[in-house]
Amino acid sequence: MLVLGRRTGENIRIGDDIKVTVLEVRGGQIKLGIEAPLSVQVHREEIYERIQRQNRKAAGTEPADLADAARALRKVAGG
Amino acid sequence: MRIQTRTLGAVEATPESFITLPEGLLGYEDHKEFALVAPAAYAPFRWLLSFSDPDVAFPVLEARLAAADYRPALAATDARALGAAASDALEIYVIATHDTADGRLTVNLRAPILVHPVSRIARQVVLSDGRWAVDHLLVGDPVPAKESKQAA
Repeated sequence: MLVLGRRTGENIRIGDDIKVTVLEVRGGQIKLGIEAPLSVQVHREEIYERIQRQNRKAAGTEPADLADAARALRKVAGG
Repeated sequence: MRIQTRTLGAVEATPESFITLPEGLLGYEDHKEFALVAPAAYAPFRWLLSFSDPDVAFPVLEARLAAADYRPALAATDARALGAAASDALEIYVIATHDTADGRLTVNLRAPILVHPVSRIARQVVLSDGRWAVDHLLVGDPVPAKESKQAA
């Protein structure tokens, strides 16, 4: 892992088009500003992993289970 | 055309159902071309089927059917990537997940799939608003039985 020391207001460049700026350091928390192309999605790691897990679980859904859930949902909607 | 899937078999998909996700879905970044099909047996759910892998099929639901008050605020970068000013102008779907252990069906309101109605370009966005749950309960017991007995 590359380790760089930066102060408030300083940046890090990643490649040509990604810029990370240290906006604020207070207590144990650091605020970062990230400029990146639209094609690069930037997320907090824990939420990124949570959604990845959810997507994987969804992709393994058995059609029979979904059909059952669909029936239950139609019943609720129909009263 | 026909799309081969492992669980649904061969599914007929018309060009109008085709959707491009230039960045794929989180965890499925290599899958960019999909068809969004709506076989009657699964209504109101639809299936988002990957063209490139018969094992990748996501059940999805129109967001307004998942939560009546659902109004996701679109980040400026996501709006630009989709070529839309606001989420009102886009089709919104949420991914459904079925838990075989407890039979609950939840939807992911935190990371909806937004589809531009004309270009059919789509993107799974991660909303910054934490009040939208990753696992919003749709069908099943509000309190999963296993949760009270064992911590995950």
